[in-house]
Amino acid sequence: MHTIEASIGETRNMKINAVYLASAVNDEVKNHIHQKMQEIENEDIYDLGELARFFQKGHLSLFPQSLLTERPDQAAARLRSGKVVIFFDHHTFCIITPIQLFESFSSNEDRSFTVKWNYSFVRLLRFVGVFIGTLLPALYVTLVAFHPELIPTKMAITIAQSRSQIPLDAPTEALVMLFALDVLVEASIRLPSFVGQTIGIVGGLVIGTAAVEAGLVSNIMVITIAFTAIAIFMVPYWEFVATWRLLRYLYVIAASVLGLYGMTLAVGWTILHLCKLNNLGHSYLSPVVPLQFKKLFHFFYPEK
Amino acid sequence: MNLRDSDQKFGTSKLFVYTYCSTITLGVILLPYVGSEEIRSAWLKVILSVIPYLILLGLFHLTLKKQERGDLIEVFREKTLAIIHIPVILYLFISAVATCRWGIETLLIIVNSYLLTNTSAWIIVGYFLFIIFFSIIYGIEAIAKFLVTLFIMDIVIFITVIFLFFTEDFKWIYIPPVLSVDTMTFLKSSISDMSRYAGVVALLGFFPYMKNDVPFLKVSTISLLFVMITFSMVAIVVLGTFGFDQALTLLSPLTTLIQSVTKGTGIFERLDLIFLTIWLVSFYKISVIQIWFTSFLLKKLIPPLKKTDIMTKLLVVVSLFFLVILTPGYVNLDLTLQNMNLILYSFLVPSILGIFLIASKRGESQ
Repeated sequence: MHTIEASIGETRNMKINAVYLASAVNDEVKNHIHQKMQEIENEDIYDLGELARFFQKGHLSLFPQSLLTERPDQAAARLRSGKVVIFFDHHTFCIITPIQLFESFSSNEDRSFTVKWNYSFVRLLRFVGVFIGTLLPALYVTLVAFHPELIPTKMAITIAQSRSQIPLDAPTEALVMLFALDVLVEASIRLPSFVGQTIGIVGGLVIGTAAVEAGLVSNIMVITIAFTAIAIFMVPYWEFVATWRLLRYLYVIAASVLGLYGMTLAVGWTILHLCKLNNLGHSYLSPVVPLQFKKLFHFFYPEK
Repeated sequence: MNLRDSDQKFGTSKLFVYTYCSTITLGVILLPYVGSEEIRSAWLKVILSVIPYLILLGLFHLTLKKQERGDLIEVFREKTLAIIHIPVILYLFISAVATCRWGIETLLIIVNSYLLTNTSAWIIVGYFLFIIFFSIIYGIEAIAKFLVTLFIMDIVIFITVIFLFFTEDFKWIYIPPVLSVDTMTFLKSSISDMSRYAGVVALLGFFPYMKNDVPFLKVSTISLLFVMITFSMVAIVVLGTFGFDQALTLLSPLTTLIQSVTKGTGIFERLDLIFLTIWLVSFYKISVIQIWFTSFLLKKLIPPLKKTDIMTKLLVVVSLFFLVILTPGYVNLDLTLQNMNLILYSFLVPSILGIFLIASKRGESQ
């Protein structure tokens, strides 16, 4: 195990330590970390987020290139898989870099299952959760506003009935509800946990029910947004949840303007963007791109 | 990130998928092509018209072996006088632009007919090219990875076509067992079917990034034969279900076919729209390849543009936007000239270029 140390700050009293396993880490990562550790001495950095961004290559992508954790078991597991763990002075969290998209679907708790199939099911569930949590509102807008002929007749009638008294069109309704959801999420995070729960209940149940009864939003829309919110929180890392949340807005806007056509092209572009991302010699979509079948299989079904 | 010419990273799987995706999309949605031509033997024509392109792949193989360099257009530039290579590359570039323009026009027709009937053309085309611009600036490496990642979509289309053989409406009796037309009519109507393989020319942009040890001929031939099988299956299944007379009236035979034979699944009522969505991804892939290739040719035509990669791609995309919006559409026009030019651009000129480079010595310049 190698450790590189650097001091930053005007009085040079803030220490940064980058730790990696020399046998596991690739040359590109090693060189990048060494170079950045030399450069960092002239920087003024006070926060872990700033530090993580400093180690990133390219800042324009929506997708995170590093994770924060305060769990030693996670840090140890990532060290073994060729990552670098960066500690910053008194902070209890550390930074893990470089990371890939598939890591956002895994959690260390998954390994605690005694039945392998439970592990597979949970991982699969998270994938489905991301699809639902990102695309469901856009799909709702597409189906309601552009292609109602795609929905079975009975369901189309139910949706039409629930929307008959709603003054807003489907895209506006979706955007307003998404915004309300994010306001609720942000408010509950900032408040102490006991008040946060109250906000959740008041916002989700009381205001939601009142909004439907007042005819401001349809009950199908409330169900869609509630399911979206729950599904996306299956992703164990907040940084990734925030990314998918932003993309959700983009997809709803694309679907609002051009329906299925707009949504399909936007999703296509996202996949191409993910293919382009290369995090210090690690393909962001590994093990799908390049395809490593064994690794991919063991992602869903544990080896041991 | 754009790959440099020296970065030869692409192996067998990327070559296979690139060849397949650069060719398959428009044939699937349009075959058997109507345009007041003979379509009864369309299935046979798509089988026979692949032969010239297999010969072209053979020529490419020999050229690559002889020159030991992937960038054949650059080798051609070095070996000929400007008076020869500029008109040739200019012709390839103009034809590439015309092909992209024709492809986008087809997309517009399909989207206007099936998905967005009331939306203005400039919004549909503008959005598409906006997405394409932000895709091609990622460079060929990202594009190749993307093609491999979404190859599953092409497999879905392939399986869908196979599934259509087993519907009760399909009848082999509608398929003429032998040539039912005279040779001249057959050859004349083959032009449009042959032009379905024109996308293969984009391989010229792929070679500079291909690994030297890739078995090019084997992989690209299998890929093209896979395209041919898909095309012939589409032609057979359309004729076998609708018969000749009805097939003549269809804008997109396969879409109509899926529309007529599929029933609601309980979640989605109209599976033809789901099929169109999958086709849309396939079209996105072919457009990314062909428009990236057009910008590749522009940089070969005007070498200083290599320094302004993003501006070159922007120029291509903006030009295409105005070309599609401001010039009249192809509907009701005779496409024979367009198809003839496609064959000239994708088969004859690259063949002559290949023969020239095989005949000339390695490393010998003007």
